[in-house]
Amino acid sequence: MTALLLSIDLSKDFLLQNLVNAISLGSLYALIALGMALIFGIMRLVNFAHGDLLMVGGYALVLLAGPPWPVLLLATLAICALFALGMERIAFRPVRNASASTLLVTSFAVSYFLENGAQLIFSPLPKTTNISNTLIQSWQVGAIYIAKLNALTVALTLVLLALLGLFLGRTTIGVQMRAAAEDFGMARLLGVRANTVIAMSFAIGGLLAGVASFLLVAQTGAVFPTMGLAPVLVGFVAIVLGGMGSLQGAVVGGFLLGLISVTLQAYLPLTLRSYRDAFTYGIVLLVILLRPQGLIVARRERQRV
Amino acid sequence: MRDQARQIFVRLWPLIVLLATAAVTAQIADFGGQLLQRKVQLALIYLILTVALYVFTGNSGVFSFGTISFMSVGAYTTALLTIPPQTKHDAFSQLPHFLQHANWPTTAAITFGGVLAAAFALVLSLPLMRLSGLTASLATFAVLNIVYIVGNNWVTVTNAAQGLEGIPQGTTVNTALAWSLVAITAAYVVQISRYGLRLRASREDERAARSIGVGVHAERRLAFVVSGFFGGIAGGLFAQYIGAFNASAFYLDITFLTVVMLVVGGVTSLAGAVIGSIFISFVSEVLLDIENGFNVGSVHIPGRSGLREVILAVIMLTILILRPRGITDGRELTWPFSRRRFERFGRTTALEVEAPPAEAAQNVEVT
Amino acid sequence: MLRLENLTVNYGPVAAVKGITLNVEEGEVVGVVGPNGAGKSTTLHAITGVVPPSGGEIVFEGASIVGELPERLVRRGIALVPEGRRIFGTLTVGENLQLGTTGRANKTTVDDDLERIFRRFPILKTYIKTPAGRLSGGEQQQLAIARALISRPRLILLDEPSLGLAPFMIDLVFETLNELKAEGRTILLVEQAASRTVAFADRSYVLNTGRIVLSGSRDELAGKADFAKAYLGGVIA
Repeated sequence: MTALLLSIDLSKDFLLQNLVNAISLGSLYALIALGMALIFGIMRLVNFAHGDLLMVGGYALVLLAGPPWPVLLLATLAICALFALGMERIAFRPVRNASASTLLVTSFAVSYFLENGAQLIFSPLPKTTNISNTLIQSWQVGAIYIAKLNALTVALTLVLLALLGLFLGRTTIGVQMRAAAEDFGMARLLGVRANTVIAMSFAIGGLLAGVASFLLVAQTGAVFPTMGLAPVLVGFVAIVLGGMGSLQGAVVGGFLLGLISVTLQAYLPLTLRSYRDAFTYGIVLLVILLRPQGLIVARRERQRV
Repeated sequence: MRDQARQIFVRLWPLIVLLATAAVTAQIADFGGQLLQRKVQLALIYLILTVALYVFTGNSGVFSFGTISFMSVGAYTTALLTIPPQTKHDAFSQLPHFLQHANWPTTAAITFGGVLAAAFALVLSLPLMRLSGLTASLATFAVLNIVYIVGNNWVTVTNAAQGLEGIPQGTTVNTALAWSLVAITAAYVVQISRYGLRLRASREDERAARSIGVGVHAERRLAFVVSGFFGGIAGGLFAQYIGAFNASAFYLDITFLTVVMLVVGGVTSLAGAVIGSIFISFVSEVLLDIENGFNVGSVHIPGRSGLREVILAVIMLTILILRPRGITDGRELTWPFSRRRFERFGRTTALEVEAPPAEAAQNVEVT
Repeated sequence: MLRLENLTVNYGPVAAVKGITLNVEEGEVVGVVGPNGAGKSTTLHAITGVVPPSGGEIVFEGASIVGELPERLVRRGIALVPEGRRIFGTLTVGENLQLGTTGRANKTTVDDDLERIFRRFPILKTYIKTPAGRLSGGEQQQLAIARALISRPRLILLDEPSLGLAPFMIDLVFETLNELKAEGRTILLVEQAASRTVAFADRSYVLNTGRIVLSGSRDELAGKADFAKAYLGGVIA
């Protein structure tokens, strides 16, 4: 028992370093979850192929190696957005009116197609790429290392969240998207074009995935066909925890997962560490069963009588 | 009297056809050696698996990822009960006492695996059957992940990632065939039973069914448990087919393969499950050969890994987009000379199909 | 303006609407009444393209609109005030109205139209920045009507606007409908409140189990009140 306790490092520096890592990881997860939640809110589609957008971005970065990182970032998010639009047009539009289960299965097929397609084209072994030498440098604050990449991650995430908030809140199409997410049929009856709103959600989702892809590859340097699998599972969990369709919930869920993941990894006794994911899924099940609207409490709107 | 007999015959015809199909497929094994025998065994195992998936998903309209979890339970159970005690003593010394000494005969072990899987399904069904379509699917997906992670990490029982080995390879074409026939018959019985009919009626419109008091929880539970049983059976047969495995054998790849088989065949028909699995098994074999590279005359064309999966994915997407009800168009193989015809109505997609029997239809109220 | 010819709508194997023929002329107010399950709402769903007809024809201003996408109908000039209001609770009142303008060809006169709507429904102006979900049932109904009006429709469809409302609210709703009628609007009103509707509309149709069992002008039907009761199975509001 004491041996277990001794293996937990309770120092403040360890805590802070983990916090930095957690926020960084959480931001990444939040971006992915947000993209998935956006699409789910409008189409009731849990897009398992969303993670593969990360992979697409990754391979794009491998192929484009060379230019300075801001150029790479822009290129990645453009490519991922286009890919997402293509995915929608080719695979999801024809089955749009199908049941949610059919959509789920379709996204499964798309994911499989993309992953194995990449394996076919690029080989199953990981490819490495170095995006930027400057981003890997870090600042030292006391005993903690904050990589410039970490700072960029958080900054980009905050900027994107703010922009998306403005977009959804202030623009015409943003209002249309929010309406479509609440009651798609009624939105259409008012003239909102289904194709436009759905394409927009995919494009934005793709864009967010592109940014996440850039950040991920900048951090790990490795690209392989199944790199989208873990993130999409995280996205799925984040959406459920945050309440399906709730955008704020997805973001908070993503951050929470980053926090939980890093914390459990750091503080769980060794024997239980591998079960970390099992715990997470167990929590997912409980949430689905007991509180399907998610863990995040929404602002209650009282009705005027 | 003659008319009655004829009626029974017409009713049973779809079942007879499918049983014959399975039997004929098994005969293919006679044309080849050991390798072909094994391929046919695997095809029959997949057939049972697809039928297991169909029993629940086809009738209820809810895609269950749990079938593979049941397979996992059945496989591990059978393996642990049939690996010779000496091997267990040598290789898996951490096993609990009663498992160490267990040495069951094959059929008993496989059956027990099915029973255990069915029990697992029963326990799961208590909370899960209340959920609606999509959330139920997602819940089963969570279960799949949990079972996978536990299987991959539970050192004492499953030997974690190293997995189990030394399983006697007792599966033969005949045993696999026997179990397939049982599975097909069971699925057919569920389907034409009162429970099956009610379940299919609710598949059309869950809300409408609920609003008239058709609470299909019990019916779903039955289908889920039957699905669990045969998933476990398939797992047991697989364990004794392959001889050694770990938890990764029961995760996403085989889930995808099973789903492809059912979707391509036709999600809402038993014929779809049977024909789909045989068809995809065949296609998969051909693709595997191509993937390994082949010879045209004296020229060797090298293969590329991943080709098989890509083409399977393309096949599935094509079916989902162009012929969503699958090869069988969602129908059973009815006696062609019967005067009864099901009504078709409008364009529907993979999971919403088929006219439910007239009696169920009249109960659905509409404003 | 609107003509339904032998319209049939099936939900799967169940026939909800079994061949009805009705028409609405420009400037007319037409009522469709009947008990629950008669197929009234289904008829509206068919007109708005939510449910595909299984047979028959729907013609609006000379053109067939069967198979038309729902989002195109508002551009043709058909506006729906749906059953249950279906206002967007998470959006503000202002945003709900903004959505109503989506289908308009001419967006320049929106402000004028908005002013007129606020004069008619002052409460909407007060709550313009409030999430619409906070409004009471009656206020939401006003919003739903306003949302339909701001799209400058040629034909207004109303699906059971009195459903779930307190009696004095229903009075308010019919007051508004009377105003619209006085303005010469073309209205198709589907309602369970049979006698009120028949008294309000120029002409009415009575639906039961998917068929038209009775039809006529206000005067014709007034005399047949008892007759109507028999067809409606005693459900008269």
